[in-house]
Amino acid sequence: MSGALASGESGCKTTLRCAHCGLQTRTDDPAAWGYTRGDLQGELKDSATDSQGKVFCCQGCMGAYALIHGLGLEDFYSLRDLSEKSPHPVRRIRSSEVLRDLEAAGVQVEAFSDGLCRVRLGVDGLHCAACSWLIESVQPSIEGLRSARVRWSDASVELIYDPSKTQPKQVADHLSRLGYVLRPWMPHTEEDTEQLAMQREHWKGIAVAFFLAANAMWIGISLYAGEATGMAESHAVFLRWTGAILGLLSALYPGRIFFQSAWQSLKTRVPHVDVPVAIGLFVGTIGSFVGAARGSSDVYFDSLASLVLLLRVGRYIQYRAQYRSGLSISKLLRFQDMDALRISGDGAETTVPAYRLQRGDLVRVLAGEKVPADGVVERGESYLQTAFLTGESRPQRVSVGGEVIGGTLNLRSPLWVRVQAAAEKSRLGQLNELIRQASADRTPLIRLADRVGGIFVWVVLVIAIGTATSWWMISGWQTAIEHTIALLTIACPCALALAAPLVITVALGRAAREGIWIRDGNSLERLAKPGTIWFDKTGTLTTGDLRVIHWDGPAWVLPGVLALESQSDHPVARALCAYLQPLVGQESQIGVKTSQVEQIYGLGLQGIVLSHERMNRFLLRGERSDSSVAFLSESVGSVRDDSTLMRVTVEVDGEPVGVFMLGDALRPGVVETLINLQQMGWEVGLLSGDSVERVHAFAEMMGRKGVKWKEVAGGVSPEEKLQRIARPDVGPRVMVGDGVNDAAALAIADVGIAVRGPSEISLRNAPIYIGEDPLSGLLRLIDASKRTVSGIYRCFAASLIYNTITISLAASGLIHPLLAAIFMPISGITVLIMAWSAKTFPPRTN
Amino acid sequence: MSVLYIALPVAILLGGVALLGCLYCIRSGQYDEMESSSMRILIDDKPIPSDQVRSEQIAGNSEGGL
Repeated sequence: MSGALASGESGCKTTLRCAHCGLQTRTDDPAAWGYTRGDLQGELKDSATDSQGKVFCCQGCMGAYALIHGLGLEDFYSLRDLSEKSPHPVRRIRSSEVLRDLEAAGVQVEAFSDGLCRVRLGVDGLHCAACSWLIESVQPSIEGLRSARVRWSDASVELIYDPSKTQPKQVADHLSRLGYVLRPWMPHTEEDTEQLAMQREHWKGIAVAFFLAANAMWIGISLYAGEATGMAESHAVFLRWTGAILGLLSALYPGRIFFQSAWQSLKTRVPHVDVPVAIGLFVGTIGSFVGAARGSSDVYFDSLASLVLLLRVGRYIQYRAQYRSGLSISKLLRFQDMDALRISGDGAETTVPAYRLQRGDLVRVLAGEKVPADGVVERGESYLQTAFLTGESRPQRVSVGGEVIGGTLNLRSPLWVRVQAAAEKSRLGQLNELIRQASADRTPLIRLADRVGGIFVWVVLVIAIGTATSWWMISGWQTAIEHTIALLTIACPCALALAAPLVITVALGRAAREGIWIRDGNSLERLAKPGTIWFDKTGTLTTGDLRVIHWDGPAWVLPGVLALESQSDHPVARALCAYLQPLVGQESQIGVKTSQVEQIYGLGLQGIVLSHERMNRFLLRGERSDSSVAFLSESVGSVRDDSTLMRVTVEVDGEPVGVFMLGDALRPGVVETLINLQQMGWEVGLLSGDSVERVHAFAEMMGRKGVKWKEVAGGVSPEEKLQRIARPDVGPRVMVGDGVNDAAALAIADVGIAVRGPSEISLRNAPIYIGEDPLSGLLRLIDASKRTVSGIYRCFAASLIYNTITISLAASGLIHPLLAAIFMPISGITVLIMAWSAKTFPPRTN
Repeated sequence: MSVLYIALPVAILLGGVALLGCLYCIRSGQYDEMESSSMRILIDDKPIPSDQVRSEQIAGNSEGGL
């Protein structure tokens, strides 16, 4: 895991990474990453392997590591380092229970005449080539599994198995130990199929362009050689016609996309660099035919064909740099990622994918699972984490009759929910639809190359008319046409069309090394000019988890508090435990016993604590009690006045003795970053789904430190966030937020930057994901954006200088097709070198 | 009549056949996923262990699993 280790060195506090998954061990936020608390570190003592002293983040990883070694597949780890190109998604490993009943899950099994069955399943957790290699290599060790073939493009695997010996469920169980989850597979969505077809179209275009260019070039070389040494005129005519036909084919098949987009551009009157390109190609082709017909040596087919090839390659690079941006970013939380435990009339439970649910179904939602659909609670009470939809930072209590929203997380105890709306009809589904529409309506930004190209085409046309008229006056219309054709062909701004995609592609690669993942290259271009940055509060400006910030009270109560709180899984209790465990120590915990522990909804936790012959009734009260304020000494006035914090009062035998202040701590360097951004000309705004008072208190607190907010909005729903950001504004509208909770806002902003949440999901929702140290990453990103744009300008300048020289040569009638054949590729290569050397991400100066 | 009139069309035709082959590969999806293949080639295949060894290995090593 060299990649992760390297990035870990850049100022991270933790020590070792997990040998299997590369996660930092002893992380302070186990719950968010989806593995159980405890068991944070372990060593492999398997003498059969040479892996003494390996550190793991959890039992699961240790098991997976042992299994991979046991099967002799340790090459996986070196292979993964070779192929690692994306951040590691870390996910909760879900059960494969849903595959038990294939029919209910909607999985189609194809039976062959020889008794074997074929099934296609989706794979979760696939993130590099090593993963597909591992899955395929494990196949021989699963009895009855004849073949497993991973298809990377849509993250699916085709299993061929012997149903008398194994079932997909068993295969899934086996693979889940390696961290891959097999799921019922949804066939391609329309967009996916379109993308795949697009990629193939690009490849085909390049193949044909290459074939035509290579042939046209050697015919061109024969002609130039023949001209120098002399050749029979009949041969020259034959070669010229063959070349002209190859050039024509090149312009017609691989080159047609430039004519198409130029035509689009003319129709919609949006400038596009393809307009001058198309003019160049068109005139060049006509010129070649005129030259061939007249038997003159002025034929450009070789330049044309190589031009088309270069442009097609450039277009493909551009497509790669942003290829997923065409995909609907919307699928915020896909229903196919969720399972539901459906209870039928006779009480039998079946696990089905959430999208198979229907109105009226009864489902049981276990603690720690997501509610699979919108519905009403029929039995049970619990807390729900609704942050992903509402942004509300605190868990919401639900009980019988309460409405629940699909996608929210059940935190405490099982709930029986009667489904009211599932899949597309649910609130989540409708939000998806809203985003899809909003993204479709968004006007595309006119790119730099197109703006420059738009001006360029007018300049060239004016010069061309000038050249034509002046040569017509001097030496007749034939020379005029010849020189004008030469000018228009040579003015084709190949380098101009290549520069921007190249610079951006290089920048994306460098950004990835910095831990900034950019899916859509255009986003980088948009960040160069200041506009408005909207921030989410919880998890973006703050660390997003509840922490004890202050404790005021006697030390003797602490072991008792810890003993009580460790029996609860309420988020407040978890925060208290995390704070108290290192503080109290193992020894003082010995002999502390509790009884009659009771969680009182809306009040807190109470119980009797027995320790050292002392018996006290403890009550840990949630924030609603204001009596606690008196207990805070004057010195901590700032903590006391901070209304963003929440209080837990400790009452012993009815007497308040101490108070904990809990809050969501600021990320380090928040204020500096925001002020820095303001100095660069950006305006900052706060959009949070957290309660209005908390958001305003937070904004005021930041305001006192010098942050000037453009707008502060609390209690906004995802739909309202979307509307606020969609409103037109000066400069680009940037949203920085949680990859999951703010997916809607991230998708609609000009530039969406996800800073938290699993990398894979975040990148699906936002074009940019900053994994570590998001705030300094944001500053570096903006800096890199400016450098990228200036790099593009430099390439443009070089391209325009080249064009000025060649155009003036052509206008004065000095250009020869041979000169054109040499000049055109040189300009392309110059741009390539310049793009590579643009310092988009300078090395960090620590 | 020069040999050029035969050689040139034949050469282009042969090249064209190769091009058609390439287009066929693209169309049949062989270029859709370039990641795994480029990695797979670097790793040598291992002999598949016999059933007995295999089941012993799995039994011996999967205890630590989830």
